[in-house]
Amino acid sequence: MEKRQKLGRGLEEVSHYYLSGVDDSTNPKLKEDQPEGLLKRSISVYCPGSAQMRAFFLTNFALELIRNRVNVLIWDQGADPEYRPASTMKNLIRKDEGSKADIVRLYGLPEIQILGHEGVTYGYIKECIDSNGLSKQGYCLLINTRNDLESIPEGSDVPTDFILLTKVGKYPLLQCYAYIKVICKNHPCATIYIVLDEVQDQGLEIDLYSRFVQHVENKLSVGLKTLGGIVHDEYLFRSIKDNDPLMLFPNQSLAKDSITTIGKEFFRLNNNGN
Amino acid sequence: MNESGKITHICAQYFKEELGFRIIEHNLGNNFTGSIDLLVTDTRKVYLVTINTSSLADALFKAFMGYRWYLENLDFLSRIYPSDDVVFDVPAELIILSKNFPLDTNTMLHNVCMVPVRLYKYMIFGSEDNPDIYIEALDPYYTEEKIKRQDFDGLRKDLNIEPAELSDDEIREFYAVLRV
Repeated sequence: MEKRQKLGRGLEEVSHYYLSGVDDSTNPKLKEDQPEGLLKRSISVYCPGSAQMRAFFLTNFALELIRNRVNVLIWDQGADPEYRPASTMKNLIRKDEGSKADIVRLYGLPEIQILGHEGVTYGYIKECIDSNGLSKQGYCLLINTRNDLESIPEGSDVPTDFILLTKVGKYPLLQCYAYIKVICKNHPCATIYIVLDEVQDQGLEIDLYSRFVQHVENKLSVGLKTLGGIVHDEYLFRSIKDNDPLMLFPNQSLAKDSITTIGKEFFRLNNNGN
Repeated sequence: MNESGKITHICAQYFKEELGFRIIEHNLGNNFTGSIDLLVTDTRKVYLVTINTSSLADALFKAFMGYRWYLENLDFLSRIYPSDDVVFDVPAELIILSKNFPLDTNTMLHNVCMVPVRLYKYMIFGSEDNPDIYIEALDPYYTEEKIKRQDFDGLRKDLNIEPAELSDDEIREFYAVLRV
């Protein structure tokens, strides 16, 4: 019997176009017969230098995840109203009756559930994941953190991996080192992913970053996973200024491509069981 | 108005609306003796703004020449601008805007220049009829002083990393390994 598509062909094409012009056929995550539980991750996102950049990255990374058919939940612990998902995705959010979560739903793609209301705890989120069957489908829980060192929880309370955004410079890297030290203490088994915020001078900065990675490995005994770098272009600045998700811009953009590349590396690392 | 003039105009709007500075004058001086793209003040300081639209090296030299012009023409400026409007016996500071700066430019300028220099990155976007600007201040150089003075308490506080309890030796070792 011929397999019946869940959506009309027109809507599938529109949804792919709407999110990105990237060729989806090369992306392994788009296979319909995705193995169960291939991706079940909880990731806390920190950007020591900039709450604004953290908000920008979390929003666009979440959109990239759902473009790759990953169910996404965002646990919004953010303190600053300007940098919470409710602001950065304000034009996409809808409220469903009976649900306390804010929902982002784009045609043909998994939802983003944003949980930031009073009473949200890790236990509550685990219940949401189980009751929605996400444990079997796979999911990624992104934690929009308060961004300060004190907000890094104990591992026993909230088991999570981490994405740290950092510029490549002596002060940002020292901040990053401080965060990694606290993470290692509270979450000895966590995976720490690094996203570089704007690498300009390829030679010098890559050399500096390499020494940083080696030093972290030597002193803190942790191997960092580098996902890539965010390129800054006109569209990124416009996205930040207007609180409009970059991944939904129809224009070709180096910044958008860099987020896609970061997503691909994230999937590669997770598909290989790292 | 040429391209450079338009960018100066947009930057002036930013300084006025976002930073609350007062614009004293646009385009002072000349290419031979020194020029300043914008002269602005926040009453505590006078800022000599240079906007790089092509070569950073040229813009830096222009900023230094502009500072020389400013010092040589202080009396003149004090006469033509009433003291009710602007006071010139406050410290001067250079502001340089550029689309990009090489790594550690802030520190190099701090080590070389006697006058403070603030750096901002900018990007112009939007259309010709409706241009917009994004401006971002670079990390300040003042923390370099704290490293030299071994004021690691101050550094930990500035970078908000006190809860990590990095010792002075850990910080020294970190910078030694990074060779910065």
